Amino acid sequence: MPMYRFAAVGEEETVFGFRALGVDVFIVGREDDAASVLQEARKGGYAGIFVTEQVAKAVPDVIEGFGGAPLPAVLIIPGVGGSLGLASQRMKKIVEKAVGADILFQERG
Amino acid sequence: MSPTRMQLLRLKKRLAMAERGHKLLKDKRDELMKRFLDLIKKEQALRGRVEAGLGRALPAFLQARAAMSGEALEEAFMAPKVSCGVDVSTTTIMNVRVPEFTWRGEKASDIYPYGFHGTSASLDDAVAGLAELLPMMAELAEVEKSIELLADEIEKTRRRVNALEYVLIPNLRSTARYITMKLDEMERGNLTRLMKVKDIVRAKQA
Repeated sequence: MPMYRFAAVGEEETVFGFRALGVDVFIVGREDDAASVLQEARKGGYAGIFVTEQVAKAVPDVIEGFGGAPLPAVLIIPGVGGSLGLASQRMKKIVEKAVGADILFQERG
Repeated sequence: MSPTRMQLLRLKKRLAMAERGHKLLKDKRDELMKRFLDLIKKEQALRGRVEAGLGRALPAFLQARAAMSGEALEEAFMAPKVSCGVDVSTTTIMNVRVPEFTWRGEKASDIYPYGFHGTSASLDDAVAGLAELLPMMAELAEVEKSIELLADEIEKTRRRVNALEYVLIPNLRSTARYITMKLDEMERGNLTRLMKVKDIVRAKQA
């Protein structure tokens, strides 16, 4: 069975550390590049792509586009500045779509 | 649709089928929902741990970077020692294919891709912290992906259940009722006609 690797996409100061652990790092210099860098990472055949919140925020539609296929799995990670709660927002949206109502995240607003 | 007995029979068969399908789909939806909620709970727990862990590891990297020169850092990371990755297989949850990651990274004690000379201690902490987090992140990625895929399926199933419950089944019912009434009406009309004919025949005989 082939081993699938992971990639990290984001600003340099957040993702550079992943390189030490054998995660492929794609650096997004400017927000405008986010979409193209993400697409490039997608072509790499990774099991999962860690995307920082800043990048995810810039190109939410690209992230959505990853939804249908089984791979890669996209994981939104908080940047150096701490979590913006983007990942739970995304989950909340998914739950709302599935259930038709917000049943889980009320307490978090 | 012509109100005949044949049509009525056919309708009743369709109705029975639709009701059976509705029940099955409803069961499917409920089970999907149960799995979905389990996954969500798991996701929330994992997400909390991963974010807390990253909240510690990432600033540590920043610190290390501040303490070291750019070239030294570049050099330190030049040749990663551990290769991390996962085996991907797919399982199915209620006929939805979801990926399953099996973590395949060496849990080596020697994860540092550099010598200790010339690197700051906070770099070691950061690397160690991140190494611990990665398997969890892989699991979180798998869980979130599964949630996403399940959500699609739940939505589809929910739509089908609703279509059956609120459109198809009521439609079939009302058509069946219409035909039954029409048939009854014809039956009554026939009866009156017969009685009338009988009266006329009797009047002629007398």
